Amino acid sequence: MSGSDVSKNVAVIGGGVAGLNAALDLADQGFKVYILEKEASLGGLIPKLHRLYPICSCCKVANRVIACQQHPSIEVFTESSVENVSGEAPSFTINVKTPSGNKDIQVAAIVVAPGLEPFDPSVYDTYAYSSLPNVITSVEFEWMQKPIGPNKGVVTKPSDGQIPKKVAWLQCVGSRDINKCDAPYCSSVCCMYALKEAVNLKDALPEADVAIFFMDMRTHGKGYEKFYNDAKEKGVRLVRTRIHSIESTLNSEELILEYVDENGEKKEEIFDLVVLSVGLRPASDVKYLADKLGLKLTEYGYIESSELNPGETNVPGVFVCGAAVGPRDVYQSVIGAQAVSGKVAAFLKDNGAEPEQISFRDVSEEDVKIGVVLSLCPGKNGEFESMVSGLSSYCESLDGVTAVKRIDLVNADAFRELADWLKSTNVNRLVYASCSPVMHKEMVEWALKQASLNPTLYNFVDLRTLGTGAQEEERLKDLLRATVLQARLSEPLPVKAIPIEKSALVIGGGVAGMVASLALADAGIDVTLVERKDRLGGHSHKVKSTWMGTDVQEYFKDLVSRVQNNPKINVLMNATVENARGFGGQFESTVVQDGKEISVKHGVTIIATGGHSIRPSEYSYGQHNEIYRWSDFTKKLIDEPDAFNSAKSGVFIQCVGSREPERPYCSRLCCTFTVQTACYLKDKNPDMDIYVLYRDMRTFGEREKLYKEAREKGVLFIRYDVERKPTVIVKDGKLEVQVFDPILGRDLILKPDFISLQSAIYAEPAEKLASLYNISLTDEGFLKESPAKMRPVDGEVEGVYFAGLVAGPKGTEESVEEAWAAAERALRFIKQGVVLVGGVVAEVDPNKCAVCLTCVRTCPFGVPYIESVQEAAYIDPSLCQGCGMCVSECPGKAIMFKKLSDDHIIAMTKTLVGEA
Amino acid sequence: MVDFEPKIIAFCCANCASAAAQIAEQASWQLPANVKIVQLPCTGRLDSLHLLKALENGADGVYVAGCQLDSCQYKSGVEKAAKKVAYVKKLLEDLGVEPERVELFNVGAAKAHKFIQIAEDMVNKVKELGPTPLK
Repeated sequence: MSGSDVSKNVAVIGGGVAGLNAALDLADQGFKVYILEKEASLGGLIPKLHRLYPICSCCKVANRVIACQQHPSIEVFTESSVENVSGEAPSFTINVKTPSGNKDIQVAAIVVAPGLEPFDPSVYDTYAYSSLPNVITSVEFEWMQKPIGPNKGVVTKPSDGQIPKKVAWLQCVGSRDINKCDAPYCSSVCCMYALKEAVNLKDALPEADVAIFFMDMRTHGKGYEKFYNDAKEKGVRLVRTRIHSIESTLNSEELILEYVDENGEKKEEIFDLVVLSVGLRPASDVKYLADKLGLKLTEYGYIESSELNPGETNVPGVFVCGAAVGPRDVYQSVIGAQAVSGKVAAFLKDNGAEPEQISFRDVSEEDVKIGVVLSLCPGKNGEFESMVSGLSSYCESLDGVTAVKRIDLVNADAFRELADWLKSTNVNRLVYASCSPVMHKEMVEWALKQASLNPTLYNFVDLRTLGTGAQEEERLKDLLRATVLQARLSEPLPVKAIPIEKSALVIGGGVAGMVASLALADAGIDVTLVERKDRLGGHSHKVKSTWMGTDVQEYFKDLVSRVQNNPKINVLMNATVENARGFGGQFESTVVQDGKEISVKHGVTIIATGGHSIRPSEYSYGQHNEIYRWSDFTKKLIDEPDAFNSAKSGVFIQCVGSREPERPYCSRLCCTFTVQTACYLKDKNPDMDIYVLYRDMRTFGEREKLYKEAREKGVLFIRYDVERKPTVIVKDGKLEVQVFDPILGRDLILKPDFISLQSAIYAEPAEKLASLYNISLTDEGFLKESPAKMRPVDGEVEGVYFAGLVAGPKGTEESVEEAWAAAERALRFIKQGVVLVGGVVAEVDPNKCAVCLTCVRTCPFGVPYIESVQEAAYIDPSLCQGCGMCVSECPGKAIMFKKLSDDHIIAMTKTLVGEA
Repeated sequence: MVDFEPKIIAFCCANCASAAAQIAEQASWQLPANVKIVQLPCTGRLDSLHLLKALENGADGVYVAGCQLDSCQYKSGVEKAAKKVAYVKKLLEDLGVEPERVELFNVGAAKAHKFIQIAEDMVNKVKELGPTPLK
């Protein structure tokens, strides 16, 4: 694990969410990683935010920060910057300026993830941010909402510290404009965060008037539309207008917003707090780093990256991820980081370090020897410090305790030290007291493994939310006593190391499936690629180009030939997966091809079964040849590029079947498709009249420039409400569209030569695959990510990943990035070498089981089943997630949970209340 | 009764409630000393027996801190716990013991303040009720 072998060294510049994820995944693959962070702490922007959709940010980044700081293969340099870079791949030398002097580090590849900066509105005099105290930025607002911030989660007006009664959010501050200080692009995240902040405020202050002033509501992410709908229901007011300026009364207490509403009426409202939803900018050091590394920048100052080779820059061996690539949200940043980890591993053509061999010592015959560790975070204050020696001697006096140690979690050495101590003291149970037990779990288990101790021999004591002083010492003694008692009662649980099959099953032969297959095959993994149809390519047959204009037809045809000629990939066409058993590491699936059953053994599964656009049941679809679904419209343009050149007029209707009760989500790419196609048609025939009927134009991120281009080319955009949709009739063989124009205040009749309906995207029905591989679907039918936060391409069980349309609507370039991410996650898992089965799981006693099916119904993951030979329920230890629900539900008490049995719990509560 | 310091056992979910505790820790908020936590992998692991035995062994109050209904890592754990708490409350009522001695709270992962608040509320409530009659 030393950094001496340069070919395994990677530098990650930037310790925000993208950098941390890239670093952890690379380290897990066996690379030695150096993180260079300019700030004093890791985490980037996210620790400053209150919550991330949908739940919160606390469990998403903090654990990764800790993991990076304490990972044996990761070295973190904070308050450090890149002074100079020399050499080229695979032998770069980076001169790093650190607080303790300059250092040279040698690396084979570099990941650049410097992230973003919020736009500074102080230059923007019309919003008077600098002069009016009650005009604040969204970042400042969120900092007030944060419970650990200086305001302890209470939002107040900066002018007088009072609770605000009327709060307005102004969208697109520093985005979607071309004044001197603005950016022409959409920052992509502000609509969602404004909704989130407004909903959180409404939750805290239900009587407050909360309004968002916006142009287009862009909730294009997975599950975001639902949040938008919920926000409206919770009483967040949404006003479609762009606020021109903020005026104030003389004492500057009242902020006056003047605007013209959609009906052209002039309005005036008074608020007492105005939040500017500031856009995103590339971090200030992006340009500096680009100069040092010779990287090209985009017209907006982001780092240029290859569209269909995610994360690749113009310099070989230098990769980029996160918001330095362009405005993107956390989920996309994580996907990008995972994709880049895969790219780096592929570039270095190195499989990282060999997996460690794991063997556990059999302690069942040994006397109980409990080691107690008091682990102190740097945050623990002096008074706590003073209790440590008293607690140590108390622990030494407890039955079964043979060694007690204090460790200080200051750096990566702490857990190595713990491992050495476990070895030298020869203890066989560990009681570990710390102030972030959940986050330390992985590290503690790593230390146990080093000492050949079964990871289930570990119990923790929570040192959080405890005070100091004599009373506290008593409570801590109680907790330590109870946990030592539990450790004494616990027996080692059998854990079996099962080798991971070094092969993959990829289901779906579209772009996502093919990219993932190639990435895995190039890393030496045998891949079986199953495709339902008689050709590869999936939906790409009907995609002309990416939004940036890369030819998708050429791209996917190249993929097809590479897949077909790759000896590591076995393509099964006209085939479907009909059955599967096993678990991550050891799957056995039954593929049926032309009526013939083929059994495939594989370690990982990647589901990329794609999606479709619906066949509309409205707008007279099917009644006229010139009414197209957008996919068919594109197909026609692919086959006949000039097919529509002579048309005088065309209509594009957006949100056909999307964002309605039946499919309450946004299909994400249709708006971009429409503006891009409209520009294409206008280029072919500038005289063509093109009308786009839309609800919100969601050309998020840099796609905004296509929207701008379309308007410049004379494409007309008419907004409609879902309550008053346009109508299409076929009259004497001609098309007629009627739409209400809110600006004119009356209906328009359009007589187009063709209509393209942007019909909703839905996932190829995946219930069966989801149930075969024990993962689940969202309410909308897309595959659902792991509930362990921020794993966007991981299924709920290990060893199952997904990519492409089956996970949600997205463009080709995003599917490619997801495919790389999924392949990387799969490789990272395969490189572990073995999977540990058993441990903290539920186990059925067949003699007590009455086959009542309670456990079968209870299990949230559908694991238990009735095993016919024993005539009892069986819980597969490799699938059990260890929640213990079935144990408590079983009416016959036939299910055991040896890590925390009923006896343990009762004994613990007894000792906690029983004394003094 | 003024000096009565109740003993309270809190069964906490190791996910959401634990994350809430993490934030509370960062904010230096303290749990009342009367409250002793037993962590469960999921509140779905909770059995009525655990609640009853805790009371029998001398706890003056017992509460469960589980996830919000929509964010349980194990999907339905906290619903299961809620049923058990309701069952035990009914049982206590039948025995003539105040059912308020047993409660369940939903604590989202970010609700650090609530995590502390419910502990304080529970202590105050049980102080009013006085020592457990079950001992």
